[in-house]
Amino acid sequence: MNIKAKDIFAILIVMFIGSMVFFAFQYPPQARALPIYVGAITIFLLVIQLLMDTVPYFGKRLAFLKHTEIQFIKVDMNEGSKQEDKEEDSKRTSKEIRIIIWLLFLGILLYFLDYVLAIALFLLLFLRIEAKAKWLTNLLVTILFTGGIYLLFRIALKFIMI
Amino acid sequence: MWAAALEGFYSLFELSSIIYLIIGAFLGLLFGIMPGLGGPTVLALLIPITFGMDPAQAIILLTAAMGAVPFGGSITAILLNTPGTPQNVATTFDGYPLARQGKAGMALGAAATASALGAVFGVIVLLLLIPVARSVVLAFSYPDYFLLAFLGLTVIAVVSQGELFKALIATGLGLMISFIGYDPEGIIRFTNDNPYLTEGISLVSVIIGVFAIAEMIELYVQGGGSVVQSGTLSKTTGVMSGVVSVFKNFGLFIRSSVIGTVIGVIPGVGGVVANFLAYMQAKQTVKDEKFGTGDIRGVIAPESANNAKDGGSLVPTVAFGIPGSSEMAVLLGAFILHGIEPGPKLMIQHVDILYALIFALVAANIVVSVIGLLFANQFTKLTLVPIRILAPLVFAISAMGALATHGYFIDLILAFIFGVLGYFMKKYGYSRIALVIALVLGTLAETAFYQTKQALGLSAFVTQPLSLTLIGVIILVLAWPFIQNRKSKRGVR
Repeated sequence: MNIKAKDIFAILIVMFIGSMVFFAFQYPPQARALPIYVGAITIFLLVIQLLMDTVPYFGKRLAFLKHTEIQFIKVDMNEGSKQEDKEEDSKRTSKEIRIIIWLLFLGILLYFLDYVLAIALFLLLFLRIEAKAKWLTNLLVTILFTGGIYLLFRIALKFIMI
Repeated sequence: MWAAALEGFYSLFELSSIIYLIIGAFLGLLFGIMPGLGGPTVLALLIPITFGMDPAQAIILLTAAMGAVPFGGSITAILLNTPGTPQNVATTFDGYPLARQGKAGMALGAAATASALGAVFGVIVLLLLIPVARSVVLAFSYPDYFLLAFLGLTVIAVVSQGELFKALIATGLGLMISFIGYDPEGIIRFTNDNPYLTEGISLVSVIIGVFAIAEMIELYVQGGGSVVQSGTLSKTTGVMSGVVSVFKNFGLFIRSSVIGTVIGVIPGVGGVVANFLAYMQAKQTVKDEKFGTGDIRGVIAPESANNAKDGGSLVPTVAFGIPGSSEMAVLLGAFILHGIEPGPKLMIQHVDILYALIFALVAANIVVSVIGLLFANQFTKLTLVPIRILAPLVFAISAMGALATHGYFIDLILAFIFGVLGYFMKKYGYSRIALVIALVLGTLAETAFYQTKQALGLSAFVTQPLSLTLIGVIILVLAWPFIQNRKSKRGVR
């Protein structure tokens, strides 16, 4: 059995849908019927997908279910390219984690600060630290964009967060 | 009738009407471009401004804004894979790949032309339908609504781009998410006692997440320079070739506009369904394997349907006061605030306003398409902005769009969660489109199914002529790829 990141992703979806099916049993028959049926079918499909991806025996037997245009498991690769792919993968993972942290940071700023200030601070820091933009570009983009946000949301829409 | 139509037409040429028309079209374009701020938002913003205005001019301003929103939404759908409104989702399937190939100008040209002509088509149908509107609207019953939703779900089979198995999993996930909140009997499900979730997951947050945020994460992680893969925009395949492509595919345009108008006439089904069905129809009829990877016909079909839908939506709105879409619901509010009662009385007492509204819708679409064509080359430059600059701007505007929907912070959290989910779905080959279609149609299908069962019994699905026709269409849609496949195999032999 060869478990990869995509399999963990599928397992997480199984857990999410599984928990919904579990909770569905506490509702009256009319309200729970569709969630249970749809959930059970989706979990069944996910389990087959997992088996195809992790157990070579099932992968070969159920190959007709896989599509040939988009291949996620690369074959016939030499060791050198495997090494390069590993490096590329770790770079991608690092970027993925960084970008998720930036999104969290934006969320935290928007929760604690006024939205105009939060957007300005996020742009300044992102452009400087992550994008490594020059100060002039950084300031210009931040001022123009935040100005637009201010005009549209504060002046025109009079938007207030609840 | 014709005298009133002429009066309504001439009223558009008054200076004040022209000014309101341009202001409305410009605002509609702007709100269409901004993810999360669609037609209802711009109308809600404008209604208080129209209080002191003459009712006819107020309606011109509001209709112009409403008519311009779909094209505004298509600009970001094509350039950034970020549909400005939910009804622009299908435009991203081929529009964005075209932008990545450096053909954004062509896609925008086609979108602008298809939008304007689609609106004209919808309005012509509206004018023809007004006398027989009542029987058309009342022909649709609960089982037909369910079957229409089911027909929409079959889109998944053709837009999954071969990854049908994973698309079905994504559909299941989308349907499960659509079950969150009230069920048709009013029982609250899967909310964990959170009052926000009783109305279900916000579609705007999901769309912003799985398309805008996920796409920017993807582009940023890939580390490319800009949205355009080749680095330079193609000069040979510009805006005019996009305009011409609509006339070259006039049959497709007509078919898509018919779909948009019919869907628009049915109250509550909405532009998202029209958009998807038109795209599906194009995919079924276009015999090209490259469809879905940057085909101009994949832009023409959803954009024609999008704007033709508005004419159709006006049929139940003006004829009975039943809003055909969420925009129409707000417009209906504006009618009442201005002392105009929608329904049969409107056609008797305020027929001049009715025609002013109809012609304003056409004029707004033409104005906004001209703006689109004139500035398409400027718009396309957005695809050359470095990703490292563009990504934080898209994150910020997506966050504001999600927040502005209802003003709840949880909408932002959901947009971010769906952004990350959408990114990993794309990375591991699960169709994000299937998730959104299922989410949109899940509630509609469940409600219609429940209503059919309660009011008419399950036999209603196979005893009513319209339902049987829809079942026939569904079977044809599902069988069409196999029929085509067989035909092509015979051709090879």
